[in-house]
Amino acid sequence: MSLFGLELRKHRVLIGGMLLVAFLWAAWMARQLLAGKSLVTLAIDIGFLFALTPVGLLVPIVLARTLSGEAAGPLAFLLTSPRRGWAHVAARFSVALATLAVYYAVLAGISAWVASSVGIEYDAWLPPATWAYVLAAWVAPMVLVGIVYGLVVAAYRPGRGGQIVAVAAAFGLFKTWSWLVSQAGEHLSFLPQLPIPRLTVPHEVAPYLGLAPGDLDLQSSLQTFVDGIPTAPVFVGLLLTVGLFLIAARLWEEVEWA
Amino acid sequence: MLVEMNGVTRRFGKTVAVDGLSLELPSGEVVGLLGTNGAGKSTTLKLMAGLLYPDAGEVRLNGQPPRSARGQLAFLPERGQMYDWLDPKGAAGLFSTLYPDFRPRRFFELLEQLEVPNRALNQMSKGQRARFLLAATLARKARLYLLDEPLGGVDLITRDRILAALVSEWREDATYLLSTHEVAEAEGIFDRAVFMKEGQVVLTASAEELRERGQSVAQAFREVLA
Repeated sequence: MSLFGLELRKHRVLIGGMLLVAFLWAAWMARQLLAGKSLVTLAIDIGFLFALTPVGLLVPIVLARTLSGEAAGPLAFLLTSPRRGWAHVAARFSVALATLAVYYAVLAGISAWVASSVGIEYDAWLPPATWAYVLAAWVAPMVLVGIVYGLVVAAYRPGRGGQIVAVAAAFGLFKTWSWLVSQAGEHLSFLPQLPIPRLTVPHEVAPYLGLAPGDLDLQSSLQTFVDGIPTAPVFVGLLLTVGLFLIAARLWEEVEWA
Repeated sequence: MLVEMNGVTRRFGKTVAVDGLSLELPSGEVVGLLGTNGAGKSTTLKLMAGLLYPDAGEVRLNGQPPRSARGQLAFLPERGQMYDWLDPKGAAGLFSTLYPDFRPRRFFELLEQLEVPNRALNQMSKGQRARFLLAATLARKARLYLLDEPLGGVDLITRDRILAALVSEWREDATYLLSTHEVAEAEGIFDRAVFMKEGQVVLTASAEELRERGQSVAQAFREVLA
């Protein structure tokens, strides 16, 4: 059993549950759409809910399980293993990222399908590009924020004052993250840009999206303002991912088992 | 020296669990770490295993800090737990991943010797789980075995089986450090006894030295720690 297999086995109920929810939603949408119902508004609302579910619900559950379950015993066997901290962190990170990648792939697939069904036209590369963009710019660093937070608590067991500092530090990290994205967007002009995708929304769908009546052509609308989609958030996300991974790997060496 | 602890102190809040402890252990001995409840035995073992960091002093295993020498030490925690869903085959796979020196064949031999059933941990009794983890620990080819209360909370028959497994596993190039309250049952296997009281070592004596003093380990335990 590899470390990856161990993490997969440890969280298999959560992972299975999460993927089941995603696939159930896909099946439900398919049924409704095949019955000829227009569900754009509902799909968008549920889409937002499901897009936020992993962060809002699953991350705290996984953290709580990690802290309460392993701290009781198995952690001693993991910590005394000569395998370096980065190997353990890599296993945790890859299992979480792989699960979320499948989850968001299902969401992207459903969104693309709903869009096609209601007559929205778009470039074929848009759904996979959006999926990759979200994973790199947002999901990967968020997973590592969760892992680092769990390791900080395990390593230093902060008291009440320390927990306030940890929460403040987490807010500070998100603020820094946002600042880095804006700075990179403004000052790193050499970063490549993605072309503005072709996306046309027919006039009968526009009201569901909160748009003014009439056909919407995203490409021609945006091209007057910007040259392309900035990739700065992706680069900042990758930078944060690498940085937080190194911090997590180092923190593993500090964890105590009292 | 395989183990060197110099002036090691570890506090938990206001409680001083280990207080300026100094200890040296050579290779190839079975050492009893003896003391009453709260004497600091478990904390001492965790400090040696690198699971705790000292507030003061230094711990060295074969000249290295414990975390750097993880490949050379096998630790069995008191009330050790493992993932409940693990069965012997799964455990052999996991321990092989975690520890390059893990010997799966020896693990299965030890399970047989200790009469551990071939089923998942969540279907085992407390004693069977303890023996399962002891087998997993002894199946490693380590230089230093740190066993925290391996005889605690088990019946006499199981105790004999555990001691027999320990004796059968003894290697000249390894040191076995056992913390235990079961002094009378275990004293036959000790080469040396380290007596701890209030976080400090109050006496270290080889079995030979105790014999010369006309004392058993149990008698010395009563005299030193009473």
